[in-house]
Amino acid sequence: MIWVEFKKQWRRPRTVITFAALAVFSVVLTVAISATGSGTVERVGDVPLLIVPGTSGLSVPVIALSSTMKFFLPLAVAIFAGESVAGEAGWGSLRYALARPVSRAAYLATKLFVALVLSLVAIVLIPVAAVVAGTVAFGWHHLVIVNGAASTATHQVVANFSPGLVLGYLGVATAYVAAGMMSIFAFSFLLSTLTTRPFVAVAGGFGLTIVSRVFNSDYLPGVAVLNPYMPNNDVDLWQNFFVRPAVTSGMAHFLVLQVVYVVVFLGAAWIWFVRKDILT
Amino acid sequence: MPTAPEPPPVVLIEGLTKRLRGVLAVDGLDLTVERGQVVGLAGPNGAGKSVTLKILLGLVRPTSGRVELFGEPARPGAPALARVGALVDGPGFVPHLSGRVNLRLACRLAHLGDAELERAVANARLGPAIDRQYRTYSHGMRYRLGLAQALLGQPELLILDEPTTGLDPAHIREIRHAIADAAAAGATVLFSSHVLREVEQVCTHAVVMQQGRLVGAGRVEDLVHMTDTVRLETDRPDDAAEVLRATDGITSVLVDDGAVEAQGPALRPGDLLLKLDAAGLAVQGFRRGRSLEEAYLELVGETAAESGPPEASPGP
Repeated sequence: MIWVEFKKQWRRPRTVITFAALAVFSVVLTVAISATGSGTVERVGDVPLLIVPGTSGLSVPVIALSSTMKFFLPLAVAIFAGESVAGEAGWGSLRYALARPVSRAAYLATKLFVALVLSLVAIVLIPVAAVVAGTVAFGWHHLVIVNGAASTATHQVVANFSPGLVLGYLGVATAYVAAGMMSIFAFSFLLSTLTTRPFVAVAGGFGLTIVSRVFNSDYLPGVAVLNPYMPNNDVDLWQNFFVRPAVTSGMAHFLVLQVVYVVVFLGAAWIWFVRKDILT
Repeated sequence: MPTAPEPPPVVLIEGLTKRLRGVLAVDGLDLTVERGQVVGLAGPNGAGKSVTLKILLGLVRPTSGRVELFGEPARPGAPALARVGALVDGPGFVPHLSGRVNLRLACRLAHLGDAELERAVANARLGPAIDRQYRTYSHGMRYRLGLAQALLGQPELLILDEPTTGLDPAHIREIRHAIADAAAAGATVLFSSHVLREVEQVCTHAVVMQQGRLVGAGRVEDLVHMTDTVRLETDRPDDAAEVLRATDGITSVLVDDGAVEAQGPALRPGDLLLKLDAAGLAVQGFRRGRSLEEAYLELVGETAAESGPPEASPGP
């Protein structure tokens, strides 16, 4: 059944376009850096982290992951999770998939697994493509981090990471970002079992990212108390690996939060789907 | 010598009720389908036909009642569904894959081999289009593929919900032949249709539903009073009616729309024709039994028929 599900998904225009867009993004980013930003410092994310892009190819994946984790990657994850069951309902093939001697739970688990694998591939694709594109353009050198607090033209180098260490950090960072997408994934998947229109599930899942972003203490200081419970806000904490001294506070809290969201959303999806009347 | 236990009916429905968004879609339905029967489920739109078939397929959960397939409870994922082929609410396939790949995926899920796949491809009769993307198919081609999928693995029970919706007469004929072929090969067929002509032509049995209830069921011949009714067309219906009323063995005579319908337990059509001929009345048309449409109108009443047209046959 898993093989059949992959077969249905991997040659979908939507899947191909999403993967292609993510890969192309890294290439475009590399070209853009080499055209304009090479040698200048680049502010990454909200944390005071400034890197010097042109000096090492490994700067590209750091920038790529930073610039996709709050928009592009949640969208890709919402597409794969939101399309999974609702897409099948939209094709009209859900009733045939279920009018067979297969339990609803097994079917849902298959859909979940395939959507999860596609989402993880999308997330991993960004840093991998960026490492390749960046290395081709700028070479395999130490990554230079300068003092982000300074706003003057002369920056003080605060850290100088070896390529191996950067790769290690990137690996952990990618895993952290992937984990941080799971609330969006689970919510889109829940919506996917509720609606027969995949667009609704994708938009709703991505909408959760926007809600999360709106309830951000930067925009709405009054709701700062909610900030630690927002499903997607702290997905950027991995950037603190690259400051000195490295900071990891808040990451464990965020990962526990993801587990709670996943359990709630996927639990609701399961409870709903095994009892659902398939009328379309 | 002990007799072998009777095999359970293919479909057994007892006291089935389904409430959908506060409305009773199916209301105390009893229905049995025995092996080898071809049962047509007729009724106006919204009569509960489609929901009933979806309950059998485990897609919809009954509110109450007993529903069994091959003696096993029908529920989501029931093992008995392996013996059922279905075409409900029109065909549904993965649009960016070809007809052949779609059938191959269905074969794989049903643990069927290449021989069965080739049989299904031949069944679909799509020619080279079988390797084109499903999204490029016309309505009729989609139904062919849907029917080929329903027939995969030669199911013992074929459940078809409105299998001819929106098809042209040639395609409708194909579907009818497919039903007849499946029945000839030993399959039991349960299909719904609001086009009564189809039900009449291919079914051994008919079931008429209205507002979730069963209003009539039986052999098609019995429903249309094949043995005790004749319908005559003549240019002088009133005179003909007079002659028929004076004939022994005829209990009722109706003049309706220029035709005369005579009913009686010991009806001899040959004698009737001779009698009318002797009275100088030319008979232009003669038919035994009523059409199922007429029987249906009597069962569901004209009002219901008006609110949901029973005959919406395509074509001119």
